[in-house]
Amino acid sequence: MNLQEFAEVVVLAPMGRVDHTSAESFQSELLEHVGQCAAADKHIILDMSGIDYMSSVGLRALMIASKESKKTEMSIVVSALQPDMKEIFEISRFHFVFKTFDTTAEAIKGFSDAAVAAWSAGQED
Amino acid sequence: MAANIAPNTLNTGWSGHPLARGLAVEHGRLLAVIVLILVVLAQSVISQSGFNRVGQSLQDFYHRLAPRDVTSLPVVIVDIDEATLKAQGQWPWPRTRLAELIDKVGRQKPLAIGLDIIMPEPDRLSPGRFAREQPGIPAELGRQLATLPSNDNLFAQTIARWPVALGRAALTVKQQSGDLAPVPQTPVQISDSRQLASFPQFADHLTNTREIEKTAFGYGYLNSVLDPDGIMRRVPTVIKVSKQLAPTMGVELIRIALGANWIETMKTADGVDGVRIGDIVLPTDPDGWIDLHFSPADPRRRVSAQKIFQGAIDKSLLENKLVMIGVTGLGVADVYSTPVTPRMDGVEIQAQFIENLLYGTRLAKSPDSGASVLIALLIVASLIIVLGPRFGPGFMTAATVAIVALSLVVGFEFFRLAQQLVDPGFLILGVVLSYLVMMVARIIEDDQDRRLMSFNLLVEREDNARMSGELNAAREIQMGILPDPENIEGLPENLDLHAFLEPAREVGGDLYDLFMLDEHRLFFVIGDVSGKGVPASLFMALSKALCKSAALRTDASVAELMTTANREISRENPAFMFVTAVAGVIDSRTGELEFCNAGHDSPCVVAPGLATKSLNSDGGPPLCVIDDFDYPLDKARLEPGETLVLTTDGVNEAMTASQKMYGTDRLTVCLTRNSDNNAPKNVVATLYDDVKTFVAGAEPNDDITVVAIRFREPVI
Repeated sequence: MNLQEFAEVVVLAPMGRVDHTSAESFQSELLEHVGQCAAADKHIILDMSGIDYMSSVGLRALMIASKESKKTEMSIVVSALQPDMKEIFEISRFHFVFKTFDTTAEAIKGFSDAAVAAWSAGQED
Repeated sequence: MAANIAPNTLNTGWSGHPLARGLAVEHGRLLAVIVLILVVLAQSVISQSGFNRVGQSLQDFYHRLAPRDVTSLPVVIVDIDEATLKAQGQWPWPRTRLAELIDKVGRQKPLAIGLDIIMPEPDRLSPGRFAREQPGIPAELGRQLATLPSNDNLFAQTIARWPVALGRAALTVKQQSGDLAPVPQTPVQISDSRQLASFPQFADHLTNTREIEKTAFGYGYLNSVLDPDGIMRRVPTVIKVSKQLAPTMGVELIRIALGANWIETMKTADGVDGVRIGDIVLPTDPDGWIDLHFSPADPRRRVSAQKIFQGAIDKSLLENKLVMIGVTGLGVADVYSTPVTPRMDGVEIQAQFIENLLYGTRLAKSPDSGASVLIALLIVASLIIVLGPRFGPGFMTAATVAIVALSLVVGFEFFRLAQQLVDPGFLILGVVLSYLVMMVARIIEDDQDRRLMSFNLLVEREDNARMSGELNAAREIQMGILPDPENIEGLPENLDLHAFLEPAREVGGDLYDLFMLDEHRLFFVIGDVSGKGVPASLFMALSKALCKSAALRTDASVAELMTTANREISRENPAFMFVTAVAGVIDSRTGELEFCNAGHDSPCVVAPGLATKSLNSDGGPPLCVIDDFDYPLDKARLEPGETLVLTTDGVNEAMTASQKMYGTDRLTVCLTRNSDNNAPKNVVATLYDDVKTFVAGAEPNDDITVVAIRFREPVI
């Protein structure tokens, strides 16, 4: 899972398929990041552009991450869903769970100016 | 329900025995090194003590493969064979007849004549002696006969004319006490006194009668000394009789041929051991023996004595040759085993000894060959011991076979090309023993691995059994609480339905329920618990029960019911499972449909001849995802003849072995294609078949559930 930081925002970009064979490691890795970000007062953008498919066990991991985040002040948003993932999110109505954005750039605008500035700086490199 | 299996212990078997484990230490390297050291020690002990039976057999094998080529024949054997005895009378002949033969041979001017015959007693057929021993001979005749010369006297006169060497036999046991009677002996000088010990020692000897011996040119000992295995391989040039050195027959014949007066055993200035006869030195082994390189018995060496008597031979046949006269017509008396043939008569061996000695074709033992073989052994055995376990048994076997073959070939080439006796026996023994040790170690290790593997397999199988026991329990819970779709109490006649749930091997979380809320309204729910095993099944059972009680308890809408159920189930959810579900109510009077979708696939409506449509709706997230979610209510209406189809993601996310997904589009197409017969049973069956055809035998990793409900014209 790729990780980038822009001010108070952490962009996490998992890759590949999340099904019953890979969900366990996806979940533990995701929850580790959630725990660390919560402790560091950071927020998370889940950049899903690298995820082709997610079965219900993957959604469960997202749900647990959401529940963990709600115990704290942090927020988790989702960006850049691929068409198949978009359909999965629509069917399971996970847009009720996470705010979703078409692109990570749009997602970052929901955070502080500092985050946007850091993001823009990163894009120019 | 978990299988109750007694805990297993690893059965280590024969290969777990401490001896076997000891043997297999370091893949058998330790023992192989020990074995190698023992082989090297054995080699040095045996090479000190002399005779090595195994090595000798191998040399004999080489000997048979590459016998000596006979290029020139310096020796002719005059053979008193069966034909001769038949024509000239039985053996023993009167000495006069033998003298006649020697005379005829002598006239052809051979260089020397050796007799493979010993005449220790006076001839009984001498006239005087015959007269004394034969009763009934008149006294006068006896007296006259006694005046005639004896046969021995005539014989002595004959051999005085020709260069004849008499045969003698040395004896190991002394025949008489006291010193031996002095007899003429060819002088032997010895320049290296260390050789003295290596000449065979005899206590006594059998000589010819004094009268004959007086006139002979020389005296050769005919003794054959056999190896411990009874095979004749080596012949000494000189033997010791009591305290006197004496030449063997072949050496004596060469001396006579060369006109020398004595022989000398010596070491030349350039270190060659040999026997000097006149001006020439014939090389021998350091101990004064020679190892014969035999050829098979060659008939060209032989001429029948009868032909000599008849004068029926080429006049120059014997000229300038060494002649051996021997008797073979008597049968088996003087026959020996040699490396090339199990039966060779003594006179043939004498002839071959002379050929070997004259032409230097003897087999030579290289003094360093033992050490070289040991060094080669240590090198190749180290390779096997070090590399064998790394490259596996195939390599070890091939390498060992190659080394053995190469050793045999090298040994043979030394024999064939250089007449060198290089014994690869210890190399082969050492390599083969190392190989065997390493292979046995390998077998022991493999057996241990196999046992460990089958033990692990057993453990795994037990785990599987426990797990499938648990899964069976989960499945029993899951299947046990599903209603029988054929037997829904109070189902109106214009509603027919079918439901099907195929549990996957591992994941068990699908559910459905169907019951009448009152005499007109059918409640349905289909769901999928995210999780597996017993917890998911129990959660599913709980969800279903809560739904049902909520549905029956209140007059609330399906949406209110979903909201209530969500709140209640969330409270009982420590494992963070969630449930996607569609619940709804169909009014059989009107076809009106109220439903609520909690994160589940949209229901479909199949009408004959029409495209299948999805009942999309806002809905809400799966149950338990957001505790206090307020689920919205959706409404639709079934026209008479339309069938409502509900599925779980086990259908649209069914995968082929290569992870190709069935997909919602294929689902819709399949339903539309078969829409003309939208009877619930047919809808379920055709969809299920289509999925199974698509996945082509791939193991499903999620439950497959299909519920179909058809609304028909209400009967009033």
